[in-house]
Amino acid sequence: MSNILLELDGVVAGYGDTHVIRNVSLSITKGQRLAIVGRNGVGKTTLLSTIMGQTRQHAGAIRLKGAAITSLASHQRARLGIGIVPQTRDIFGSLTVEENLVAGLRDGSSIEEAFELFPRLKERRSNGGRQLSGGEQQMLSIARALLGKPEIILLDEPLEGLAPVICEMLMGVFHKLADKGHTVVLVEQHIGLALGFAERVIALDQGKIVFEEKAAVLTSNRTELDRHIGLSVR
Amino acid sequence: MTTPVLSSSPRRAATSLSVLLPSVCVLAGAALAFLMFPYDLSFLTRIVIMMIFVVSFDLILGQAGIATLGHAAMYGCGAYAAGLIALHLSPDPILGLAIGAVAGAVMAWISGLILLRTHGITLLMISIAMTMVLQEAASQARWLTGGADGLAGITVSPLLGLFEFDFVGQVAFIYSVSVLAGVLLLCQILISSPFGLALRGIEGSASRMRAIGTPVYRRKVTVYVIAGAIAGIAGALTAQVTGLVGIEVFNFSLSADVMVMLILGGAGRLYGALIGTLLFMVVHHLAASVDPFNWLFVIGFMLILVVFVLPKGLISLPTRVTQLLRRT
Repeated sequence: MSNILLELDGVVAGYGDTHVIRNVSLSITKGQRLAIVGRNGVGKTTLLSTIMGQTRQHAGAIRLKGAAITSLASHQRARLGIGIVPQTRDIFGSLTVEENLVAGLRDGSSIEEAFELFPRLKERRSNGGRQLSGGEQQMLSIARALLGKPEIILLDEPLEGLAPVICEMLMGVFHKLADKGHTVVLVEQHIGLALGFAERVIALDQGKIVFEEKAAVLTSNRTELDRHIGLSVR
Repeated sequence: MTTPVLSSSPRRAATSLSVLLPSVCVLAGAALAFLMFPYDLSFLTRIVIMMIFVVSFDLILGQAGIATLGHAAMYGCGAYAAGLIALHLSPDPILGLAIGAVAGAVMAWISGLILLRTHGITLLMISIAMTMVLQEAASQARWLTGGADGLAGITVSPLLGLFEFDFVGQVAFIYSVSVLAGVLLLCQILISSPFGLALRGIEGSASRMRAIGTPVYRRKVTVYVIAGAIAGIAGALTAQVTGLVGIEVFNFSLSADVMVMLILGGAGRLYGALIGTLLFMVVHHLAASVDPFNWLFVIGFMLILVVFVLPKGLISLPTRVTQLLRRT
């Protein structure tokens, strides 16, 4: 039986009539840690949004566990097991931390799981969404996505603008999730962090996959990645 | 749908209290008004019914962020349904109320399926158009609705078979206040449930709610139907208390007034709907008695003042005053 969890086949997508993602084909196996890298504006966020059903798909197919989900709305994809932590975090400012979590609850999940993963949120449970720091907002966004019991979780630049200590803590959480068997797709501009986390790395440029390699190979030969996407690897 | 949001016991107790609070406040305020203004009960009953109507609008605008100008459609359907039931089937007021709720809910379901696929100006225009169509239909169907003359001579039997509706309006007032307290309790339970939180999430970011697996359209239709049922109850009460239903129940101005009352009080909090309605109705009553032709000037001026000084409505006045005091 195939171990492929998510599959994109010749996907062309964008906003309105504009094509941002151009003929992307990609397979992600169960439990895999995948990093997507690339400069600003190459389509990383659009690729995640397309998987989530939030863009207009012009061509190609997306399959989850072998079943086509191309025509499904984003809430249906979420219920089938795709979770996303958006770059904008999208915390509901008018709700408290606890209420934000309850809004993401599904049958069989409990907000105590979120508090176990992020004890800081338990301390701040009665605070409004607007009263949280950037790091706390990110924790809340991740916890809320996990309450939906996703099999695959898409993380869109989750460390952007956060203090190093918070980045380190969140990377620890991502490792823990992956160790528990979650399939994790990490979009990250910090190549060093991406390589430290992922098993496989793909690079996007102008909406196309221009490079794909095992992270271990890139760690020993970083100039290859630099050549393709023009990013200096730290 | 009604699972309490807060988990630990003291928090659950606090939630139970906050759920009951609006109903208790209304009952206390109504008891006071009953004693203080025994000869104005018919006016007070009108205020109470309008409060029910505005609370129903708060569910869709304040909680889910659905702005329509056609809420009178559900109110009117409830009024006509209760009137027709009383005239042709049974004068029982509770049955009339239930039929009014069903009529409002069905109208909301039918219109909501179309309306809630649209947004912004399109939504506003279609909601107005639907109410206009209903008004014209009610006007043309003379055999059923009495046309422009309306349904007259509606009488209802004693409440629960015991309390005759009296000339002074005591039973009507107590009946309406009881219904308002029940509606407030239902709304409080609803908005503090995960369903209510999902609505507030939708109001904040519909796309985010979709991404965490919430069927946004279905949730919107559900709350629209619930609000429609409550608006239908308000319409049914009007029919039973006044004994008359005219095509004016579908007036555009009624939908607009409801929005003004909610904005005055503050959308998104049930207290705002109550305060806004009370203020609007009392100012309307007083201003119209002083100058029957230019009373709208006072309402307009009040609305401008509130929107500029207190954009979140009168309910935010204490917070605003505290902020100003801190600054000085």
